[in-house]
Amino acid sequence: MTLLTWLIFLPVLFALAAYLLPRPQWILWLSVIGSLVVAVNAGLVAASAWTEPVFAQSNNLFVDSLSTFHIIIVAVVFAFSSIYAKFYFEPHLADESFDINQARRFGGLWFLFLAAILFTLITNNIGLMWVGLEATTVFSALLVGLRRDEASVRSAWIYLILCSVAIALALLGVLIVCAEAQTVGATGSSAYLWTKLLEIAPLMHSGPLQLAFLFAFVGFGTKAGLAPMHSWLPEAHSQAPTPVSAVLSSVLLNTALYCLSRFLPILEPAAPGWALKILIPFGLISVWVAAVFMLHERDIKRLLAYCSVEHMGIIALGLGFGVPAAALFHTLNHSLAKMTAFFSAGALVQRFGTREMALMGKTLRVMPGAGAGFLFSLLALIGTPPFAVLISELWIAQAGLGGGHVVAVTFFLVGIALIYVAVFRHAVKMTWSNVADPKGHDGRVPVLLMALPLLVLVVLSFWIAPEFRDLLNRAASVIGGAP
Amino acid sequence: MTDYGEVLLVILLLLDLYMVSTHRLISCIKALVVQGVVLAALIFPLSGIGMNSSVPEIIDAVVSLMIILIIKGIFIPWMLFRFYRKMGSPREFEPFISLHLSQFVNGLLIGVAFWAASVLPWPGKTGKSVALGIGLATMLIGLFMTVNRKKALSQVFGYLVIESGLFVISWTILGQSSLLIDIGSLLDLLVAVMVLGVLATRMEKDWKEPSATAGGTPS
Repeated sequence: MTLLTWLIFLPVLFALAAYLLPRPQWILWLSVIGSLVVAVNAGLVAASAWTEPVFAQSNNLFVDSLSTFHIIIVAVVFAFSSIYAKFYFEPHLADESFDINQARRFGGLWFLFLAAILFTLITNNIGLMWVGLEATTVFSALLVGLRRDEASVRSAWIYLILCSVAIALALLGVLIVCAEAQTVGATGSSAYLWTKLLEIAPLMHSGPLQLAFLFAFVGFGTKAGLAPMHSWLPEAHSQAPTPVSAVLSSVLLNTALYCLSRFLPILEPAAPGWALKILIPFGLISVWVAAVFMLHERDIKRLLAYCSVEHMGIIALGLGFGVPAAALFHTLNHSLAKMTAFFSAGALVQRFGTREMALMGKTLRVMPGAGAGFLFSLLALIGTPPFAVLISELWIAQAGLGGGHVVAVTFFLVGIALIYVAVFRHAVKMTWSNVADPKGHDGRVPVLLMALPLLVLVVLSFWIAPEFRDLLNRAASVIGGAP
Repeated sequence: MTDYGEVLLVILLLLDLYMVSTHRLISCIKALVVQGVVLAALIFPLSGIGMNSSVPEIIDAVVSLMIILIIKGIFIPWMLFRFYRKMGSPREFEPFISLHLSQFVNGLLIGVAFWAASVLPWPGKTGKSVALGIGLATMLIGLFMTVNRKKALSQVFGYLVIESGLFVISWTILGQSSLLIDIGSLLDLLVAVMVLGVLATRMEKDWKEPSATAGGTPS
């Protein structure tokens, strides 16, 4: 068993273990320990694949710099979110609303979800990559509906049916690419391997590849939350238990965009720049749809969910402007900031007993840690210095101008300015306005859990470690644009 | 494309139209069983695997056939039937558009599908427009079914029809069945339908019609 196969097996084993444990507290501890163990494994895989791609299982598993980059984000986010989950579910342990059955479901699904994401990232077979992504949809839908109350079950339903239908279209896109590969000579199962597809990309015809990309874009784009296919996202991300929301926004959306970005270098030789032309308008639409909805949003978690739509749009813009390095850097920044935002928002919601922002006030006084965490992560998300989110946004805008997309960049900047104003207002009101006393029970979140990612974001805006910058550039060159 | 292959494709299309035209969930479940059998039978004519193919290819195709028969022809309809009973055997469901208008839309979708099959740049194989057209039509009709239904469980039928159309298209353009992906996507389908059924049953039994409203206790 190689490191790579353990990367999938370990979470599956932990999922099974979760079903065998008798007490909810133990399952929460298992989720922490398990994610840390998987994170170590992921670190070892990343180290081995840092400069050269790694193959396993006769080329069916494949980790290059792009996969490595995403694996690191997954490992970090899951580890942090598991620690947060322990604090999040603790008040529910006391009142027994988080009983052994719910705990077992959480533990089992949490790790199965992790296994599915990692599988999607390390498989070389694009058909199996699709299978992995659909599996993530099923497991995460069950996590969204964990509480089994009316609202969350409905949200889980909308999420599952919409995303499953959408990625059925993505499968059609995948199959068209494989069929085209067979037409130009790839035999048997090699037609499904991404490495083979990359090799024969110059031989393939542009027509079928473009058709395939359209289907894949609709499918994977829906899963990534790009507008106008995003309607499931505010429901699912807000109704899910907060640790699940954090992982959905910070990891799953990235994975969907990862699947889409695997198509870009395959299309590039036959139809240069064509796919990028599709990414730009949908990136802009996502930013603007998010802006419009965020202006009037009252629910704290839905606000964060629309924020995810905005940032996925920005990442799509980065890919469309031909700077995948900026897009990937933004992916990292967004994941760190969004995760922190959800942790602090979750604690605030528990403490105030409501998700309505108008009913939350003086957060710095009521909950200094979570209040500050939310304020700073929100500021980070909308692009305030000294957090790195602003840096990646400016990088993307600069690249857009350099490529001559002046109109697009204008719309982009106006869009994020609107969002800045809207969200800044919310943040100020929550932090300083006078409202009624908090009605909820205890919500705790360790300050370190929020401070660390925010600190990293500050550091990243001034300095990126040279080895990491190299990884970023190598990952970007896999996607195929200028670093 | 053999003659019986074309007959099976036409039966597939007629089953789609039947499912759209019927009020009753139980009739849809029966239609799904027949559709599973027809799909399984379509593997050989669509993929072109026959007496001239290599033994491994034939074995792959036979295994795919068995799995489709078992999962789409038996297991999934059985599961749906059990969910249907758990919900109290609701007799009728109402679509958003009337049945007559639905059939008109179906006709349009079939037209669009055949146009797409002949005009769009499909990889390689030409002369397979009939299979491609019917596969696309099935997908489009399935999409329409998903959108047009109010009751949650009936949206699942639309999803299953989409997947059937996807299978037809994939065998037509790929020429050989990829066993791994067939199994993978069928397992995904199975689990997705299970979860959808569980969610739908919960929504039906405990609360009223599913709708896209948010709300509920803060989390």
